[in-house]
Amino acid sequence: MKHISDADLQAFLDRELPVEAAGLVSDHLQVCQACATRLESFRGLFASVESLPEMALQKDLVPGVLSGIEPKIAIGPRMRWLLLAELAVGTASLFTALSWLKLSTPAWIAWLTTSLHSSVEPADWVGWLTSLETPVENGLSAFGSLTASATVPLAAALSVTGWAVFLAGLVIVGVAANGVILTRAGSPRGKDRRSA
Amino acid sequence: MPELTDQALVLGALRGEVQAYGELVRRYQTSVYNVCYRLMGERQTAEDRAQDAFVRAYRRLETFDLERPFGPWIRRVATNVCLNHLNRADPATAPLEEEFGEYAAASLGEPEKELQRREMAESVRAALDSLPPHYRAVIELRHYQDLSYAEIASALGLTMSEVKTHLYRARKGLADQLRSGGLR
Repeated sequence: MKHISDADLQAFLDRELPVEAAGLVSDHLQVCQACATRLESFRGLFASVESLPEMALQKDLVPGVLSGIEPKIAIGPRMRWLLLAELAVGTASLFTALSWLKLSTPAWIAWLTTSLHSSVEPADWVGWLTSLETPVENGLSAFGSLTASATVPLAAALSVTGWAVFLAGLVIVGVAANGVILTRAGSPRGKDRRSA
Repeated sequence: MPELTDQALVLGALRGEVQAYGELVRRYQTSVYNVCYRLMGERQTAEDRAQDAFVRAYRRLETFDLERPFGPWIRRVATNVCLNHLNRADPATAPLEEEFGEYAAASLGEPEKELQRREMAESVRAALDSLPPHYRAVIELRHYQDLSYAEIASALGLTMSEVKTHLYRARKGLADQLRSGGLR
């Protein structure tokens, strides 16, 4: 007589054997005392393991857990869509700013080449600082000349790029902030979301 | 006032109500601690891992399916936290404490039976602690969390036949340990 393996006897006790195989094991156990004894031994082992009493927790975990978490930001579905729309607009603005910078690349190259081959005079920095205070209209008018020529004055070039970098930075900060808000915001799954 | 359901508390936590999550921790801290204790075998480490499990669960609360019970989910998170810790730690550093005074709700009276019960419990704990972490994990999920082979396979990233083999070897190890201790 072929006996049943220990693994199959355990799977039988776990109710994990397919129906047909379980039937065969059951029939075998009716006629094989050796396998029936092993089955009872496993049943005893399972009972010993499962009868392990619960240990009492000796300290309250609540204060430690609550000090280790940050409250989630609650935002409704409408707000969520608004933030997603803001993310989309922000990303589009960022790309626009980047393409704008790309158009002025010749001026940047000219400026970098000059900087690398000569020391920067204090007067240049004064000009740079002044350029940052130049009204945006001047910067925008300089933008036309930037695209047309690589020999625009440094102050004008920086005026345009200064604004572009400022706007791009603003957009990046906005996108990052919204991303953080959306990541931390609670969003329950399942039908209970509707009843929430 | 009726007691809030686990689902209501989860929704509260997702709305930013930290105290709602605190109530969930209060409800499940003992069972989560016991999962950690069975896997880690040491009281202080088990408390630390239980706390980690609740913090990690909170960060992933959006992934909890409100149509399912919270208890099995948090115990599963605790199992994974402990397994990650055991896989990183030196397997030799997992002592089992003699903590006879710690059992919950011990029955009063019949001191001999109580002593036997405690000895048996200590032997089972020692046998569990002697197993490698991945065998301890399948025993935990099968016998204490009542998961099917398919669910264990999914939780631990194993195949069904690996689960069956792991369980068989883990139980053989337990039986051998208990036998050597004179209990089976």
